[in-house]
Amino acid sequence: MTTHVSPQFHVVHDDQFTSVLRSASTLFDKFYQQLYDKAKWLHVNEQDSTSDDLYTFDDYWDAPPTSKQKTKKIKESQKNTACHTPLNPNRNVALSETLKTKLEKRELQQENGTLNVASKVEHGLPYGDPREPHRAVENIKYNLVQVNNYSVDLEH
Amino acid sequence: MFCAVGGHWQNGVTKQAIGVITQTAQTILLHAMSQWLGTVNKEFWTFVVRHASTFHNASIHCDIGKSPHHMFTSLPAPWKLEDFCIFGSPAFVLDKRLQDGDSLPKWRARCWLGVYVGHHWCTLEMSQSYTTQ
Repeated sequence: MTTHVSPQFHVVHDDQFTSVLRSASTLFDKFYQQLYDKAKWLHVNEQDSTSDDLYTFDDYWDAPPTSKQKTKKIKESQKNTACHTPLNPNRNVALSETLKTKLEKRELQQENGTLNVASKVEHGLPYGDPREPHRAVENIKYNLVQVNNYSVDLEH
Repeated sequence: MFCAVGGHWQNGVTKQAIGVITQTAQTILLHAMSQWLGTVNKEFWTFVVRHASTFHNASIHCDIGKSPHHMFTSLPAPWKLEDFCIFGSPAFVLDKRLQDGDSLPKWRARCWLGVYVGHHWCTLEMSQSYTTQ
């Protein structure tokens, strides 16, 4: 409490709020208690609980659950909370392998002359291989069916 | 400051001053609400706006060396910064009979508890009074 006293009005000011009986910590403690009650997975002992699905945060990282039920529950929770989903280190590798496979397959097709018409048009290649005229025609027919929903018999 | 109807951009100085006062009042009121829960609430917004305005008008500009009140009226501000107290803080006011020199019964409270809501024209104002236990 400050010692400031107004001479005219005989007022003592409590600038530090020391005389307030209901301090701010009362509300904060209430909030903390609510958080503590809701976050049971932080403090509830697994041995004392009767629930089979209960697991604690530390136990999960020390020894990942092996039962099917726990694994299924964890996968569902990871789907629901994307921010908690651990990153898959193989994801980038898988993507790069897929891209690499596509490129290799296209190179092989280009070498063998088995690219379809759309790919050859895209890459500026001739439509058919002169050594395999029937395959080129089949590719043309296939692409026409896919795009225009009708086929043209180019053999006649 | 005057501006056309709807031409708020023509009144930038006033808008800026209103923004400064509003933000100051918001900060003061939130601090008081956090310090004295259940007593100081948002119904004190009129007092806190006037307190922030008075505090702003009494504050001396660092470059000019004058307060807004001094620049507007050419007279020094009637308030001193040391006279301001923390908004929303408890204030114990001596009973009027004791101020006048009279006596009170022995077990009667000597003062009453009020909330400091600022002073206007050098007048202390108490919005609410609480009798001491």
